[in-house]
Amino acid sequence: MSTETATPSTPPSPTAVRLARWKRSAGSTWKEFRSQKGGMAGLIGLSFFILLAIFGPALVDSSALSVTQATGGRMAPPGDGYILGTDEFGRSVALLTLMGARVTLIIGVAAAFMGMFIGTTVGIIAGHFEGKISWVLMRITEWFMNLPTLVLAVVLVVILGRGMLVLIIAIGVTSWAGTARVIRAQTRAVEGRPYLERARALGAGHGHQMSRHVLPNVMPLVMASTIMAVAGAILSESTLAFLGLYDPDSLSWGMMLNRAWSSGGMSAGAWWYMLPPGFMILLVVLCFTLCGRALETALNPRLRK
Amino acid sequence: MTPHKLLPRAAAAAGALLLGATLSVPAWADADEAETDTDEGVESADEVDSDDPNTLVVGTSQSIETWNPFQQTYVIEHQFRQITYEPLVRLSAEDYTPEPGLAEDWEASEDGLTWTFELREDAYWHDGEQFTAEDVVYTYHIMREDPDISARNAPTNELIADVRAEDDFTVVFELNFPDIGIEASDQVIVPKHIWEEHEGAWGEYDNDDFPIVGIGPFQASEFSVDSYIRYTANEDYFRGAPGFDELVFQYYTEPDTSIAALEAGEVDLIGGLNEQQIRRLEGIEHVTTNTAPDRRWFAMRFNHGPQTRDGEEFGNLREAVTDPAVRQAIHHALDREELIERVRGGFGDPATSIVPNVFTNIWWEPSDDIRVDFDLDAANTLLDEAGYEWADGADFRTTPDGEPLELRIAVDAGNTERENTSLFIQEWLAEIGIDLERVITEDVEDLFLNGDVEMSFTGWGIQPNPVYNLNRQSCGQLPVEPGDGGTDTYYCNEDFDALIAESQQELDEDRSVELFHELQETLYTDNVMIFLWYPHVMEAYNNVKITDVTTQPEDEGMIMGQSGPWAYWSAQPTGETFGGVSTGVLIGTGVVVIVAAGVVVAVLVKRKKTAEDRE
Amino acid sequence: MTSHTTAALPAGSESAGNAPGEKAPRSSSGFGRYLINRISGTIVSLIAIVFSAFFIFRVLPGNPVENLMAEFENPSPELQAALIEEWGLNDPLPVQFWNYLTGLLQGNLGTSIQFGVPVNQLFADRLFPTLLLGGVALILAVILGYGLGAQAAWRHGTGFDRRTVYTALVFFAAPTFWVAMIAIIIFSRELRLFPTGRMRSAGAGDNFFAQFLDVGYHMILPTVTLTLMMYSGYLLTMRAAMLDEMGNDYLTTARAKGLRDNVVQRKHAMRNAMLPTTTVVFMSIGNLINGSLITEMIFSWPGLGYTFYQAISVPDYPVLQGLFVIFAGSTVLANLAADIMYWFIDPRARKA
Repeated sequence: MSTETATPSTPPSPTAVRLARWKRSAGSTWKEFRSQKGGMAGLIGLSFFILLAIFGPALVDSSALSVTQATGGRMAPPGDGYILGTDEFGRSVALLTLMGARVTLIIGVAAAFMGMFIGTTVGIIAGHFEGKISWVLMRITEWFMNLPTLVLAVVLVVILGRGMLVLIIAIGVTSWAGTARVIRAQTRAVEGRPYLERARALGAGHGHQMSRHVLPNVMPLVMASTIMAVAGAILSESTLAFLGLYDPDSLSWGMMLNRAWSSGGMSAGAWWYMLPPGFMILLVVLCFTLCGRALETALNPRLRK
Repeated sequence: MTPHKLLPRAAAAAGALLLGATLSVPAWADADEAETDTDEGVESADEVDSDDPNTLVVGTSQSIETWNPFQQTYVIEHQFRQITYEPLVRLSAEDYTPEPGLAEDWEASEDGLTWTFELREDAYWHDGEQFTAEDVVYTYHIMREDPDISARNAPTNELIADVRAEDDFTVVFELNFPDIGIEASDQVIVPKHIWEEHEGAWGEYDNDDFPIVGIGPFQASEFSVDSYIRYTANEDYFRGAPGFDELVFQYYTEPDTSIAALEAGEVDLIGGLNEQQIRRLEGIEHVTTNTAPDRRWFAMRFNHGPQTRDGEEFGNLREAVTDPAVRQAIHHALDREELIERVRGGFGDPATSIVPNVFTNIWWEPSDDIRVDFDLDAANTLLDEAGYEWADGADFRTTPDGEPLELRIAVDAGNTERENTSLFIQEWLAEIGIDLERVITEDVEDLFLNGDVEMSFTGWGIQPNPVYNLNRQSCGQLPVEPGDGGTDTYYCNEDFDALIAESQQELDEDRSVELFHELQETLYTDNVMIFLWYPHVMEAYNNVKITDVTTQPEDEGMIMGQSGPWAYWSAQPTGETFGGVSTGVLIGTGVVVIVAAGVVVAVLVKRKKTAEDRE
Repeated sequence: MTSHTTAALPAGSESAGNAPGEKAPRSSSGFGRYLINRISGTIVSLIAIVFSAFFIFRVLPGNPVENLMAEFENPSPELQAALIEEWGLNDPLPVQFWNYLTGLLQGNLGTSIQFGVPVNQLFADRLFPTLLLGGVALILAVILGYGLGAQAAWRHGTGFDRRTVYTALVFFAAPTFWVAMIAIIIFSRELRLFPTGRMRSAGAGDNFFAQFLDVGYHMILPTVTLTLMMYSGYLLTMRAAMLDEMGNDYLTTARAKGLRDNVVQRKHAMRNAMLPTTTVVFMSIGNLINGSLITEMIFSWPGLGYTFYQAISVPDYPVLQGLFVIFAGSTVLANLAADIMYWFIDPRARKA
């Protein structure tokens, strides 16, 4: 009883303060975000793709992927019950496109998160510590920035073997360096602020400083970049898949385009086989980009003009 | 062609050895009256001009790496040898039977150890020198004495004890043991007077002093890296002058591009097409398509258990594949007709053996009592009887040892045909309770040889004498050290080996055929591999410009990739041309583009101005 | 590959400047020290690249001889053994590394396995097509990006601005290889306006003018594809940098004063915005390499990117190593150029 009555009078816990502040800023960010048409369009598009990725494969009978049970003609144009025509085995391109959403999104999102995780960790550590640690980390970062990323990713996949996890790793590992540099700069800026100096003076450990003070401050930037990074990761996945570096058991849009190309879709003029997966990639990347831009604008008052 | 199967073998002209050039040029200049035409041909042909009705333009995706015929490896280089040089004995265009090349007649002694070749007296090298027995002797001298070249020709050097010139036009080969392979060895003869300039360093000689002195219907006269190879007709060819004055191999990195070129009349003959491409070309009036059985076979091979020659086993192969019942069941579960139809668009013949059906004399087909047909029920019964149980509700069977019945197949990355085939096989095997994992990899050979996969695809081209390919399935090919290559399957069967040895020494034709049939039957019934199809070559040419192309074999045969110069030598110009982008069109296009760009710039500038005015 | 996304596609102005800025040394002063610092960093990077180039590709699975067998007319174990010996694949790894290193120091990159020619010569043959395609596309992308970006910023908030930005975003989102495929289908296959690939045609004639036109004709589709793939990043950067400049008071005043000044000031703003944008152009060289690789592959353009593609499945170690050094090396040098340029743009970089 007493605690209940006492609550209003006691000062709110730091967590509660942080939560409230976070709620407030999230609210204003959302308001800003909502006012941007492009961002909202992207968000709506994204929800559609996410629903498609979750429920799409459930709507389609798994025999749609079977080559021995396929009934359509070989690369038949749209018509005859196949609204988007058929592939080289006589499977429905429309159904394949539906099925492709899940793998594409999973790889894109997972790889982007992996890249952001590495990039943020390296960036914060390199920004927080001076001297050798920072120097070494930044040399490693530079090394990754200078390597031709596509070349490196191709080599990684070839060495590790084709699989979803390998693709995620290959894309994640080759895409974090840019993030690390941006986060490091941001960390440096945050570290200069008075309250961090106070925390240091009060004897807060490195871990505490980084996780409690630096991380929350760079988090908005990280979130916005992650969303943009998903767009990049999806494009990377498509490119790798198009080069034949796909997981043979998980159908993605890039893999469809590879198959269309390598099975002679160009000579056959099978536009119905190439347009749908490409459009889907374009749309989903566009949605992520729009969302990312809108979020960045919402988080950064300097950009609102 | 798939994105990474695009491995066109580009090449570049290697550094020039001036010595040979200075020597061959005066000889060329001294050439008699008959050469004058050719000379003009060279001059007027500074550009590759498909508009010229007397120039045959062939599309190729490979380029020549070395002009040294002893060091060559690629198919395009094989073609260079076929049309520039000549062996003692040719394989006929009609049916691959031996026929006179530089030798008019030949015979073997009773014991098969002495072969005497009577040479033509009417053959002249491109520079006018007469061909004699000395050239033959010198060619084999090079093969024996050069360290690099002799390594490549180890089997020939082991076989041949001596080659000597009896007189100017008689050569005698003494063999260490009888081998009918010597008859049509396809070894081209090189001119002694050119090659002796490089005594002792033949292996390093690039032989790229254009025009290259050979003896065949065409002479390589010009080469531009990644661009083209030009051949000029040899009017004095002993079989008669070729139909076209010039033969140009135009480099195309991709079939798709060369098809557009054929349609436009920029190129006259192309090969290596796929089903879509051939179908597209079938509808075009000035194009004749040619699909014919190739000298190749394609199979799914089983891993029979990695072991060294000493019998040491290694690798972690899944045992089930070594069970004959499992292999037989898998054989029943593959539908060759369906695969050919769905994966190759019908362009292939069902295969039954390691010898392609073009070699009608030795090709073998199973009789009805041993034939294995597509029959999933039969496959299931076989597995049931062999103790591979199907637990209730399980998707796949378990082995008698209680392990899940899982097998792995390595699929060559970037090879669409093999990948597609593996998709079908995976689904069929699922129906008989075998869980097949597809491993797509750049590294099929290593995975297979290390026993990390139970199956993979393989296929080779075959010479009329299939002994080399049969040999790869013999115990003698087992590696000395784990992981070394040589064997195709780790198959080892002493009876099979004895048959090979016998066939190699058998001079009697009927008995030889019989032996080959027995060998093929063993491969089939033991399920060493499952032969899936004999692919068809898919080629197309411009019928407005070319006529009278000889195929090999004559009936439903191939044009490019022949053994011999037949197609290129026999093809006749009609005197007409079709299409071709002329310089005029190009200039026109250029002008249009420039004008268009100008208009765009003008519009942009104007827009900018108005925009500025508005603001 | 678009790992560069965040750098090449800034939503706002700060990405254009911050990234290289934070590299500014804290303890040095003066351009000389800054330069020495940057150059020494570059040398460290180059050494790291030379070393990694060897090892990255050695771990590639696959045996070049085995993979090339299918291309041979008459494969045999003897041939295989002879080739392995010829190509030095039997040498122990340290020996191979030593040969690579000493060769590299003498400017010798070895001999290509699949092409059988010195890698130097191969690169010499293929460098020009890459520079031609990449260079022209880069110039076009810069012109297009700068021009449209500046226009869009100046007319901020108008329909033109929105259209320009959204068009750029759409091109950014489209996979390069897909755009190339669609371009080939429409313009080469159906309309038959342009060739489907390659750099020269057979019957182009021998004189320079004809060759020039022929190459130009073949270049159009790949160049347009590559340009479309790259221009959007520059456009958005330019637009952001311009907006940043325009936020400055002196410009606002200038605009208020009337049209004449306005035009002058716009030029001024554009000039100021150009430097940060150009930094981004230099930093996007990796992007250009990725784009070239794909474009060259699809259009069979005989450049370095296409060569990489041909070499990877063999694997042709000498070629791969050499390309890797070239690609990574040019990225490092471009970054150095960006850093140097940055010194002149941002006073913060000079602060001790």
